[in-house]
Amino acid sequence: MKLIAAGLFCIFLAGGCVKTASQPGEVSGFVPVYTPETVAKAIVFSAVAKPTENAGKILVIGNLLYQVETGAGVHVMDIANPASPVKKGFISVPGCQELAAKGSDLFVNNYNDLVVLTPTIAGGVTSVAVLRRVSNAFPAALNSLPTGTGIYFECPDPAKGYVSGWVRATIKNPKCRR
Amino acid sequence: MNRITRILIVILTFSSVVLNSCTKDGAGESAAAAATATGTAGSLSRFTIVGNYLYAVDMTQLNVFDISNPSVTSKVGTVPVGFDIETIFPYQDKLFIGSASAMYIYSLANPALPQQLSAVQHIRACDPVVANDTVAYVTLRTGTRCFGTINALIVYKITDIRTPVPVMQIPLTNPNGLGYSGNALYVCDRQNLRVFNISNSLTPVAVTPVTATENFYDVIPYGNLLICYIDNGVSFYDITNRLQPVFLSKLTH
Repeated sequence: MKLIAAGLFCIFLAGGCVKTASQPGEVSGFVPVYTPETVAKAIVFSAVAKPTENAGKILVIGNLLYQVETGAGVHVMDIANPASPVKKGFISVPGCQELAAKGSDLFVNNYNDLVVLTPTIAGGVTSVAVLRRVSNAFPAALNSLPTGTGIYFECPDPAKGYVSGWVRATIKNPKCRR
Repeated sequence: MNRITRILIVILTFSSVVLNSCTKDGAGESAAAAATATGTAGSLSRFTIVGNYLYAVDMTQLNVFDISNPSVTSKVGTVPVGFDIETIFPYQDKLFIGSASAMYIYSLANPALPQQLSAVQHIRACDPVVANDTVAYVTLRTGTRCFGTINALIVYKITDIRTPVPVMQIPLTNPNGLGYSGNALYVCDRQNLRVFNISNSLTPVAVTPVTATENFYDVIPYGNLLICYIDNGVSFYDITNRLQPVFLSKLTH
């Protein structure tokens, strides 16, 4: 029963991990890469297209197609002529995974925050304003854990900043696994 | 049955018909209005907008945001749903939520507080969902965080929205996102884009698939255009003939 309670507690804390009471010693696992808050919350538009490296989810509105660059932002494409689509720029949104759109507004996640962006559109996007930020909108983070199962990882410490990624490392007696 | 009782029954029946039809009309209008102004996402999305609300699923719950005035967007509620939630798909006044072990259907009769109508458990696997009035299509796949042992397209009859009934299971390689338009259902399945004739919606019939060198992950049917999320980017197909997509272009790297 205690174990179940501890497990549930951890699921709420970290969205799916299992706190382990065992002492596995030195094992191969993952450690978080932390990003300072000022960097993590900087949303910047560049009219220079960026290469797509980790293609993510897609959303279309009018002649604009948006594709998430997983964890990094949103590519903007003009698909007025779908036989010859053109990248029109990149909105840098650290931690981005998800997006939605209504009218002239884009709704994206910036790590655990929801942000409302208003792109200025004139033959593509020319600038992006942050209209609204809902801090910590997603307390059970959208994707704050390393991918995979049966893996050990160092439990994230929110005091150290945002978890912007995971790197493999040898870790001693990790407290988290999934 | 005395006369007064009969009159009461008539009045009640009449008023409930009127009320039902009003509710239905209202929902239809708001969905239509939203469709014109709202972006269209793929089936893997965790965000969706219906009317004045943004619905966002995290791992365990449905977060509801009032976006009637986007500059003061605020969270107005959270609804616990289940574990390992992955996707959300809107259809008219309903939300279809896919988790690693179930499909949930929620009513938007009260859009600020969606109410669960049904939940169907299935074998543990990842599962995006698309649906309409009578049928829900779900893909189950195995993989790194999806555990399961089944790779298939599952067809649920949802005429009775409170008790979805599985009516068909079609084995596939490792299916992912999916979408429908007209008489065609498109299912991403590694390097194949499976195409099904859904003229009879409960019994999809496979027709010639589209093959590519990249993996397909998700699709958005957009008028006569099919937009595909593939490795390193997107690709585009003309679907003027819904059952025979014609390659137009791709934009990768």
